[in-house]
Amino acid sequence: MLSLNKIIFFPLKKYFIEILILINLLIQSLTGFLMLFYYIPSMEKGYESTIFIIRDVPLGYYFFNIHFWGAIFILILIILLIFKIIFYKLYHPPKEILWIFTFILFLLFSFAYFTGILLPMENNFYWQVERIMEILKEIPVLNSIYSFLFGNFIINKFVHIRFYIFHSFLIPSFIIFFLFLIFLNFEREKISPFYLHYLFILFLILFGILLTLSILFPFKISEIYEPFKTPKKIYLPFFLLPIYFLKIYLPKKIFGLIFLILNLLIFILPWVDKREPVPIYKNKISLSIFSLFIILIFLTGIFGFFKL
Amino acid sequence: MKRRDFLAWIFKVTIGSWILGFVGSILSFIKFPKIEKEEFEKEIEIKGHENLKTGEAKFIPHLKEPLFLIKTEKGFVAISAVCTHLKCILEYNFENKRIDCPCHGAIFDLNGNPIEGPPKIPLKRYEVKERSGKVYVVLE
Repeated sequence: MLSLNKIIFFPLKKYFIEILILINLLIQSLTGFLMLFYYIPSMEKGYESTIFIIRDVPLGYYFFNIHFWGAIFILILIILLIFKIIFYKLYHPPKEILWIFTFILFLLFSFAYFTGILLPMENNFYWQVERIMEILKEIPVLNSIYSFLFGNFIINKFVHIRFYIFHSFLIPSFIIFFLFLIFLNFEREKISPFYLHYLFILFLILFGILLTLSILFPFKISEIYEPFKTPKKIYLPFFLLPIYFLKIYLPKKIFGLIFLILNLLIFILPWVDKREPVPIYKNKISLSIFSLFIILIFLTGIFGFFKL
Repeated sequence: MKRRDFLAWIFKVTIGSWILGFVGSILSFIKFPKIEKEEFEKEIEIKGHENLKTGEAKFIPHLKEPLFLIKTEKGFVAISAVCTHLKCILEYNFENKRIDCPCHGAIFDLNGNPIEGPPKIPLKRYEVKERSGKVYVVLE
């Protein structure tokens, strides 16, 4: 008999989140690849073809919405993975490279979200991109990388086609590469063809969740983008809300600097934290710091949401 | 240095410069070209300004710098239509003679100074030139 216990506490439970990310990536690649058959990468035809995918293509509605919900899910999973690595202190030598790969993977996934939402050329998403650009402009290193690749923070046809190339080809290949590097770090005995049916069960469960979400809460596509009319409320993805909060309440130059320092601190965590690799829950002080950190992130996120 | 070492060194340098050139040429191809300068002129002519009455404004949907052309008693004034807070597109409020931001409720006066809300920097003002009945706005 299948029981929840058997599925979740399956032999690979040590790498549960990583495997869920892999399966989610599979779903994203499949739905994204199928939508490429109909999507026309141009600023004028982008919206039209997206509407065509949603309305006229058989099952296109489901593919679009599963892709949308899968993107949010995969971001939740990668953030959970980062928290897991901090919680169990898995970043200690000789595994510091694992930590860096995970962090790069998080950046890649958020960048994939950013490039993906421009493609439908839909008004809410368009302004979301504008708002994210506004945040990106202030962050010292990221903004020069961005302007090298996409120019002067203006959306035009060249930027649009670049976003398309990055979203559908370059970022996925980098993600697969880094995910492969993370999977290379797994203990060999845990990887066995006898566990494949567990992966299939997990695939079915995740697909079911995404399908349910996309039926119950489909993305309501609104008008075509209007570059000269801002909607009353511009929403941001959940993982950017704390950053948005910082952006609003800190002066321009300090915001970028603080954000960069925070990022660098997270990046070089394995070399900063040289203590014994004891899981956080065994040490009361680090447990309280960790929970304070998480509460702070949640609170800033909630405040950021109300300030949108 | 022996001859063998020297030859090996030259070989490495050749291969290295090859790789550098290869990567460099790819990167220079990928680097975003400077299109904006060609696409946008420094001076734009504004059409349909004759129909404006005093106190009315015309929104100019310029892709790089959207702006309002406002007719005041002294003449034309050109003010940026982009909020200095988070770059929302502003709305001209004819009744109260002010400029409103739809995002966070900021209010600017007709000189571009912030009166209410989060922005602290005034709106950018552009020079307006009138030549033989035509109105030009000087960007930059």
